[in-house]
Amino acid sequence: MEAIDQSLLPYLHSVNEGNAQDCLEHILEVIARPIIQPIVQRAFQNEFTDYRYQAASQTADDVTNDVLVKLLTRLRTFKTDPVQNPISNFPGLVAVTAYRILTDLRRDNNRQRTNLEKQIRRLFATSQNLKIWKDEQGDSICGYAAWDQRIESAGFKRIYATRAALFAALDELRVGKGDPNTADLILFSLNRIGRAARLNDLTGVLVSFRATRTSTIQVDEALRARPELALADVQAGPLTSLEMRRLLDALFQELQKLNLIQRKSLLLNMTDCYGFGIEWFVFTGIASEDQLANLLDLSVEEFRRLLDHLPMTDNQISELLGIDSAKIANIRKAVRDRLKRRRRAFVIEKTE
Amino acid sequence: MRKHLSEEIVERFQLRGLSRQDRRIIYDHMLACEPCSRRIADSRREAAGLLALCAHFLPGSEDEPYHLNFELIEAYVSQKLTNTDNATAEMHLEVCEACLVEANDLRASLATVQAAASPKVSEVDSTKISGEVPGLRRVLFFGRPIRSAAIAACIVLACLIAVVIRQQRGSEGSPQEMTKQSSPSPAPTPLQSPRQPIVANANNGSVPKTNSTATEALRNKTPRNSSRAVTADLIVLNDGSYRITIDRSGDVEGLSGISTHTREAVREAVVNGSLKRPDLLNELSGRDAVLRGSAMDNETVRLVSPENRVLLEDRPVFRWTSLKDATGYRVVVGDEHFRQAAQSGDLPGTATQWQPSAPLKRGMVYTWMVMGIRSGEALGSHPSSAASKFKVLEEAKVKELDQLKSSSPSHLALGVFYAGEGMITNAEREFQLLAQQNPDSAIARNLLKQIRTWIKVQ
Repeated sequence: MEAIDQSLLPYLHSVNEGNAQDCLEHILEVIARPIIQPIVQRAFQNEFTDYRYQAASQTADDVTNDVLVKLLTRLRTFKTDPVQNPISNFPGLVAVTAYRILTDLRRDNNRQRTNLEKQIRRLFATSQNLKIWKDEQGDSICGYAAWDQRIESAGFKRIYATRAALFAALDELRVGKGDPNTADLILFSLNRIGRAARLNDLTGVLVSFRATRTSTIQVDEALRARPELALADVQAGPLTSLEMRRLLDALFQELQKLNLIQRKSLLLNMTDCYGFGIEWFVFTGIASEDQLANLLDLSVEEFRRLLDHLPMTDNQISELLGIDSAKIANIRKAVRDRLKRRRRAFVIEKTE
Repeated sequence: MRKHLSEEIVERFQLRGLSRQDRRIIYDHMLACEPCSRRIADSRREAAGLLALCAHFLPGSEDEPYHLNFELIEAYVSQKLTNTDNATAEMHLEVCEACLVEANDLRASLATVQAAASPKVSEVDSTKISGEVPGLRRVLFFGRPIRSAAIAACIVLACLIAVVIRQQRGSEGSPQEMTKQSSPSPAPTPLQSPRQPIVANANNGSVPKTNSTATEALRNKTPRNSSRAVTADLIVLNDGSYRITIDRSGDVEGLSGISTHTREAVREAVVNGSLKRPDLLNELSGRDAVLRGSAMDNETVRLVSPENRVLLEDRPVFRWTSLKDATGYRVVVGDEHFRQAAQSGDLPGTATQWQPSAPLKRGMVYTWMVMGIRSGEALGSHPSSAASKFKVLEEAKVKELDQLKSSSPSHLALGVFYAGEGMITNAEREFQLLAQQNPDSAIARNLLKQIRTWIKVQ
């Protein structure tokens, strides 16, 4: 058995819920938080020093809380089965979790920024009055097409809108209760400032502006209506076999609502450590062979023959379905996200 | 009778070493044999199987989150996705707020850009122009170098004539003066009437004078004055991303989403060329309440802001200049009934500003004063303190202003609104921007001049 971090032993050996909660609070607040905070602060130190302070401060708090929630889940799993899920170095786990969440955040920020820049380019391409051009330094500049007047007099140069000016212009909209779209924001800032802007600056400012207006955390409708249930699945801890069975019943019903391509993309590449896959539906009695065959739009005989070829790779599934293999993985991810919502609803029902 | 599963195959199962053939044998046998089914799927392995199913059907905590890339979102919005991709996108958008926001934003943004580029206004104005001076518009639209140069020369000439006439008249132009200031190039929509870009001297970075070569060169490309005479029935002002027109009957076009009250105020301001000074400004500038004690007295704190103003913010920052030898300050804010609305407590001698922690009630006129403290004693409760008035804008007006900013961010409309509410500094800023965008408009100049007069009086 792997060694257990000494600092977790009181929690591991706690016998009643109240005692366990006290231990958890101590672990998270006294041990974990002091490790998380400097990591997060270092990651946001540039933002803390400028006009993005408020947004950065909020995001830093969100990240810290996300790390604590992840740790809470991990600690509960650890207490349930310390042999299968040991924690030998808790401070190390805290740091790794914090860095992982920061990496996810950066990846998501990059994705948003890339999408936004493409959107800005698309909007500028749509209108003949807007234009993106390159200046002498090779920077991409955006503004009204009429502003792309190369000034050739040696004594003059063009001044572009600074990031601070763009922020100041958009700040006027921040207090508004309306919800301006990206085109509104671009037009408003260009007109307010009366100057072209570097595409890079405009994109950065719009990303920050949008980040402060929209929630960075995705919330299901059910959770939006009942925010007190947001941590329900974390607090619920690992599911028992009976609960898993009930959850899988619910997931199986959900699977039947998917289209055939989605169902096959998900089901045909499943495998477990014993080499079985969707057969477990039959072995555990959650679904019959007929139901599974129906789900895949096959006869029972065809289904049995198919079992010999499972699990399939994405290439094999794509060949079977006649669609690009990269899409198979995306379909599966989209389906899993949808099923996750069903799981959350299940946990909420369980909590109630 | 069917044989049970052999020990070898069960062992291979337990050791996770099944072949495809083994799996088929076990599967077929388990469907029919309850005892063997229990041997394979005992409680521990059943739990593992359930866990495997759950793990496969749900995203893992370490999985990279799935999102639609821009190309997919764009194709979804443009309805160019295949049925399969569309189904995937829709399924994802059901659960992912971030991607849904991006898709909705792109859809709305495209609509905004397309609406802004709509030729509707252009066609109306062009008809008027070409109807009254046949051929002028056509000439202006040509981009050939010779004609451009000729046009530029005509514009300069027209400008000079206009200046001479104006000087001879000795006035800034009647408020009823009709102007047409937009570019005649294919650009009359909000997007197509941009403000001129600002150029600066490369040596010092300062903004050059308006008669600089570069600025003139840019101006000459948009012959603002050339069409003034031909649109005698219109007042046209470039305004942010809008172009506002007011016809003879006083109908205002080009402003959307503003209240009837503000629309009427805008119309009056433009048609009459004047603003109505709100009585509130007189109340705020009542001199007897402003200073107590001698203004020259070294023991009197000088208030910096807010001073005789109407404020948008309900937690204003109070600023004053420091007093010689003061060891502390105390700020007191009283409402119009002389009830204390807020107080700072004792502030250090280095403090020159303070912000109340709680918002002040909106719609009220307040008086604030600062008392200097020296050696723990206030420097006379009245003779050594200074007081000034201000008002916090009403909640309803804040909502109206929000609406105005979000639906129609027009300098003219905002300026008129601010002026009407007594927010004269804000009004000055808006009219200044309006005047910059309409350098040849007497109306814009008059509005700016008028508000600056108010500020001086205040």
